[in-house]
Amino acid sequence: MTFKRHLATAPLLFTGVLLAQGLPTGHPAAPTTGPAAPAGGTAGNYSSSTAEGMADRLFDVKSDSVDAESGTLQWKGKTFNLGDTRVIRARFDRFLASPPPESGYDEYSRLIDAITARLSAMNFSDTAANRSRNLQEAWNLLFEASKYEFDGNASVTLANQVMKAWRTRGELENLRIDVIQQKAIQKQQEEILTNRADALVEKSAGKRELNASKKANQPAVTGVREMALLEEQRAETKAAIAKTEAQRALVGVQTKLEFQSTIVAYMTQRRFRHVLLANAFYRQIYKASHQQVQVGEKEMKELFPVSNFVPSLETLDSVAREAMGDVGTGLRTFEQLDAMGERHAALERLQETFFLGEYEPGIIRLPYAKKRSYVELARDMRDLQKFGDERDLEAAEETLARICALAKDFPAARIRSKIRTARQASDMAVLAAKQAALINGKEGHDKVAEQLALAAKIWPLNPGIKNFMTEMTGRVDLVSQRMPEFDRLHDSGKFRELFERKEEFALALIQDKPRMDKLNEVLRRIGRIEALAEQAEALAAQGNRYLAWDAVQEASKCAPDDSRVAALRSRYAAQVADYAKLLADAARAEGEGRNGAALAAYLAAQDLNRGSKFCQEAVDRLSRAALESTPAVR
Amino acid sequence: MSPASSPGKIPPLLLAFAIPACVLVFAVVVIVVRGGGRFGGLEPFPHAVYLRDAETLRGNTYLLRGQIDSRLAQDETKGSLIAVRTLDAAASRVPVFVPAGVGPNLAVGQRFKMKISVRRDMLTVEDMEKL
Repeated sequence: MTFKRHLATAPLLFTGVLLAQGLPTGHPAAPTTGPAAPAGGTAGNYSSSTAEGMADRLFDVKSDSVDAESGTLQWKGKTFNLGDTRVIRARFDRFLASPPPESGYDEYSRLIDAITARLSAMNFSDTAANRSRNLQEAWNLLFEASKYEFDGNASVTLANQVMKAWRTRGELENLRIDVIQQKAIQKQQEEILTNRADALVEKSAGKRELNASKKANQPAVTGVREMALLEEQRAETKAAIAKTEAQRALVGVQTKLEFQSTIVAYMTQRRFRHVLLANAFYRQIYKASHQQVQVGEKEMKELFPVSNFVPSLETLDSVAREAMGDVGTGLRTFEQLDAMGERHAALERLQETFFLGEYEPGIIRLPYAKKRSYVELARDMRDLQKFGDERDLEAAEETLARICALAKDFPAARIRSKIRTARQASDMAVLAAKQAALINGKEGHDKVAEQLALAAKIWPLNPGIKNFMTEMTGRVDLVSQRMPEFDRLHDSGKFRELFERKEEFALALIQDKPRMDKLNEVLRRIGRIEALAEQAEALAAQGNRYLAWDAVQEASKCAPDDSRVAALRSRYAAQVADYAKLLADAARAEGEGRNGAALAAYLAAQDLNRGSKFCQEAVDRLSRAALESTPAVR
Repeated sequence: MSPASSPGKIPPLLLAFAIPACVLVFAVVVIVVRGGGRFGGLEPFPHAVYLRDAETLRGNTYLLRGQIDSRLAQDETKGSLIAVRTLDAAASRVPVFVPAGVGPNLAVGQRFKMKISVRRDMLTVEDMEKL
């Protein structure tokens, strides 16, 4: 998924990330666009295209209208192309970080106002001489305005366009005179042609009467040729007139279209003041019937996405004035939010207002100290977006904390929740991969790969993934090291150590079934010892010392050298010395095959501990053995 | 007159022979009676020594007086292995093998006088009679 929003839409980033990752349900997915977004609308377009028309609502300062992905500004259903994402971000950063002009802007602004005043419609009621003088003065002032860097040579471009229009008017006049002259020649040629035709007709009639008998059918060759020549000259003149008129029309239209192109360019650049100036000049130069905008069909469609809409210069004029008004509204909203400490909202409004009225005096004159205080917040919000794109959740969380410190109204809870959910989901995938690693064969490998891919997709920098990979890499070494160590410990009866390091050995020996069986047996034995030790301690606590000793003896059978057994034995041996001695004698005798002596000792021990199951089992066992080993007496 | 000449009196010489003879007879009877008949001359079973080191008693024969405590095991051809509680002060239980054909019927609680021999480390009854 790509993130189409600029830093102002950072809260929505993680929603997109997590939805794209197919997280488990149970986490309500936030909408991918804000609540005001039109269904199926483009990202960042919070305006309603159906609200088009000049009588629309006020600039919705709460809307998110900057789409950094497509590099456009949406404003009242109109789309302004801002350029490349990085460029517009850099422009905004530069705006925040750069001080306002130290001097000159006021003079420039006064010049623009002066030009506007001279071109004002009110002056049209003046005399033609005064109008002409105002127009000339306004044109002259354009060159003065273009000397300022804030102008960006927009004024001189307009001045050149006006100059071109004026020159074209002279050219058109010359062409008009040419046409008049050509028409006069044409008229003269027509008269000559008529006279010559009449003369030839008369002459031809007299001759026919005289030579009727001889040359009744002979034509007047000489007259016909002359007529043909005259006719050809007249046709040439007519063609020249048509050509001149066509050239005149072409020159007029071309100049007009170029002028309109300049106006549309000013509009798309959001140089609204120059739109007004250019419109005013255009009105002075061209007649009212030429006010329809005939250029920039694509740009006009973006500015006015309404079918069958015929834009005029008045429409552009109106849009420019409204945009200038909205810039003022946006700046006042920014000031208010800034005063209230709602810095996140203030930054959003400032950004929108900046991109709408980048060249407006209010934006350019914004106090440096106030702008500067938003640089860090803007940078952090952009970083948050970047970290969201890269799914660097740790960095995102750190950045989020900084943003919260800078802007208390930043909607951090939802982002924080999404970050934590993503981290948990990634950790769960790593855990699943670890579990899958215990499965032998291809199935296990596929499962590990699948779970790791999922974990990395959600949180590529999850340290758990790295740890797991390290574990897997070291597993081969682990196996080669643990195998002989296991054998040594097992052969020397150090079951307790094997028990305490069971996870380590289990991981290493997972593929080695014989050793795994041995390990399982060790775990069973030590587990039994642990249970018996617990039982012995409980019995001793109840005062049943002999029965506690029985439990110790049982545990001793599992692992005679076990440290826990030894500890229990040393703890209780003194308390049951007589009983322990009998059992020891019995065990020794049994070990030596002296079943009778062993049986006698167990019977004596049982006399001390009548409830001993241990003794009873020994008596039963030895009785059978003794009887079997005793030969029949004859 | 001398007492020896009195016709109603036992001659002193006779008494001098008769009294030692009676004493001798009495002593013989006592010895015979106290000697136990079949079990005469047997030493009591040294239970403590048996528990401590049965090997030193191997091949010896002892007299064991005890009460049958339980029947531990039985083989029709070989006999029975019983636990006998001694009637001495220790009152300990010892395993005793009663070969088939030796002694009367056995029942828990019966008291017996037994002639036992130590074969390897197993006490084996050679003769027994109820008390």
